[in-house]
Amino acid sequence: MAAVFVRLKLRLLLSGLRSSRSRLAFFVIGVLFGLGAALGGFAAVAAAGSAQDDRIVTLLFALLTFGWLVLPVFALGVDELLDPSRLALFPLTGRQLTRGLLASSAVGVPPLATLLALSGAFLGFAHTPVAALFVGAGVVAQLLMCLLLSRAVTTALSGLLRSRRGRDVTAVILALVGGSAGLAGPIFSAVALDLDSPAGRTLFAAARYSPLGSAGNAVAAAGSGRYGTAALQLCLSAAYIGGAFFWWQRGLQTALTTVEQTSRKRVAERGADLRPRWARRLLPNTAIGAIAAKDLRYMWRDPMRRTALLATSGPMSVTLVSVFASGNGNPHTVLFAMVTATMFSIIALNQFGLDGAAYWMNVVAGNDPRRDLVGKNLAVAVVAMPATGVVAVVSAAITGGWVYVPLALLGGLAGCGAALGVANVVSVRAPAPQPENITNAWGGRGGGQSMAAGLTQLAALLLVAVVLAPLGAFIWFSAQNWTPGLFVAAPLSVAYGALIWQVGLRSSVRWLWWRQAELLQAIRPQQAA
Amino acid sequence: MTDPPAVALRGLHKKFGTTYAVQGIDLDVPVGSFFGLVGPNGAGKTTTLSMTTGLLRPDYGTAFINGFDVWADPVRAKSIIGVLPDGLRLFERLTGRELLLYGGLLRSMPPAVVGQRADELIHVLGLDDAAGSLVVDYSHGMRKKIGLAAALLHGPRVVFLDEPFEGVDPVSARTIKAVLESFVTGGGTVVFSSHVMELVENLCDRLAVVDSGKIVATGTIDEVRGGRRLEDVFADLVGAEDTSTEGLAWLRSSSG
Repeated sequence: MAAVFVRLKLRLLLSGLRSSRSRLAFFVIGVLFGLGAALGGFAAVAAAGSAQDDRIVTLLFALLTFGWLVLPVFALGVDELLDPSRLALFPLTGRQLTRGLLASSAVGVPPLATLLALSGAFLGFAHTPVAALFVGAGVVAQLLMCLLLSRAVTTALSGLLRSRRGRDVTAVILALVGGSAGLAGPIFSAVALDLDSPAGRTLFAAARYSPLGSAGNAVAAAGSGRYGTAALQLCLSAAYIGGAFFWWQRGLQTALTTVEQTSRKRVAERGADLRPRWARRLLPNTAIGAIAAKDLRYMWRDPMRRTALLATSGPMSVTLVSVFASGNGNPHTVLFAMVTATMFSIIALNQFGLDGAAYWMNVVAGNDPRRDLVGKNLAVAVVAMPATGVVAVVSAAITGGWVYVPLALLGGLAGCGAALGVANVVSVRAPAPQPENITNAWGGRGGGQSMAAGLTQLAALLLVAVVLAPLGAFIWFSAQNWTPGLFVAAPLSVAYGALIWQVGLRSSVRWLWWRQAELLQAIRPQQAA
Repeated sequence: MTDPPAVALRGLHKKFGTTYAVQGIDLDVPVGSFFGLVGPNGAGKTTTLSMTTGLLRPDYGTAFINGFDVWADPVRAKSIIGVLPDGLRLFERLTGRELLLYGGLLRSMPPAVVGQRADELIHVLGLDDAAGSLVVDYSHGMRKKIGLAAALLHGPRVVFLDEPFEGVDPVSARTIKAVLESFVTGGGTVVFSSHVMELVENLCDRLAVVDSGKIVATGTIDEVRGGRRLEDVFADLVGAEDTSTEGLAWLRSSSG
């Protein structure tokens, strides 16, 4: 049965690649990128064998698995080319379905790159034939753990996102996971320097006995001839794999057999307004206001957008907290609040893709694309600017740097404007269709498309950073060395942000004016299949 | 000079990959007609309607609405049409009423007028109880009705409906028919696609039969029918053969 799934996945992958030359190109880039990362990982794991320290390979395996745990949620999504909901009507038991999906999930660039990287352990640790057996089992177990964790976690989170009660819970979980993800890198590098410190010992013990590193520790034990320990570690790993498999299977079954709890019965007030009550003063009651109001409603009601917002705000809040923590109460750190606005504005990078096929309503209404873009930008600004204000005020309360709050807000406006200017161009020139996947909000794509979307986003982020760098540098320099410069920076920020926004807006309106039908075709979810 | 037709299609072509979906469609729909576009699945009806309403760019050819070119003068052409497209992808996370407000405001109508018309349409189409629920929770028939309301809200002169009665229960279908008939009585033009011949015979005064991306017959119902049943004429036109089920022996045996 698993073989059928694997063949089906391969068939889908190949026909997807054949259908579009650009998809093939991005797939090749993905393969090259994956190969590079895999070889680097392979070398690192192999080198860990000669390091005379078992702990390193355990931590390397754990770090890799941790990547599989958090990257799908915050950046890449999982490759669900084989959408479970399409298979729901076949007479398959839950176990068969899950096993088949697991087998098919091993087909793809990331799993193969991971396998290659882990295989470095053969070079570093398989000193005897028996050790080689243990290493082989450890590598396979670790790969299974990676695949299962990424699937099980996203499926479970999607389940939570679908239930009304779970939404807030999900927000907290995502923020926590994002937090640990943001802190993992610094902690790991700090601790790796000194594994004998108390923190180092705790980290190692956690990695060794957790699903993240149990198989890695088996490899390490096998390498130094402690086969008993290796066997025990593998047993632990097998138990975790069984648990994760069961968890995923249960999540899948729930997703396939329950309906999203969307709305309590909303009151059909006559004369009600499209604009949320709190935003009525901020948004005009016109086409632009309606477009903004619709997007604001969607930010709350649409799991896809909520996910995107959470994915941004989780890691962002952690970064900010760590900046403030490391700033030792320096009042200048208030200025970092301006980053908040930029981060929130990133949701606009695929603002039309998020609308999907329903965008026909705007096209058929003969709506001026300028109003589309301004309305959508307005919705983002209405959320991003208050968030910036909150961060600025909180950080000022901590550090006493109240004097910097106005500049942080104006700088935030600049960051918002510049990011939206770039996002407007990117969202009309390189729109990405959003897959529709009922079992997994992070599912879909794969086969070159996630690479295309990922690279586009990365390029756009770099562009935003480049555009904002001069302004940021000037403000930072002034804050440190030449306080009067801050008075220049305030109006300058606003003018600069407005300028970039205008340039981006004009360019995208000119592009979109005669291409609304093409944009509509490009963002239909069928394109994501 | 005579008034231009409500809809005029000129040499519409569309190719997807290597397949021709529409290969040269010319058609005039007179003002005030109830026009049926019929054809088998995959004949090119949806593609034609999409190109006529500005949702899909033709490879060649163009479409005129009341004389305005949809592709050269989209703003004027689109201001007088209402559309209920195939697949009915709506902004599902809005409530039915919010969806209507959104559509009306997009067309720059005064908010008070939008609100009033939305309430009227909701009432006439029997959606009073559902108007406050998210569209994602609607049944198929309710979606068709709210889609129809969105298509009519701005008082268009021509409405295009892709399979408006497909998957709709008889009661809802009756409501939709009544609304459309009163729209035509008021001077509006309806163009709709369907493959239910009975419906077309009952509702339409004119029709065009599309097959393999071309128009194979067009005219008033009686002209096309020529005294026979429309379904038989249709089967002849699109070249349907006698259906035989000889090979399906296993389907008839209960043991299977």
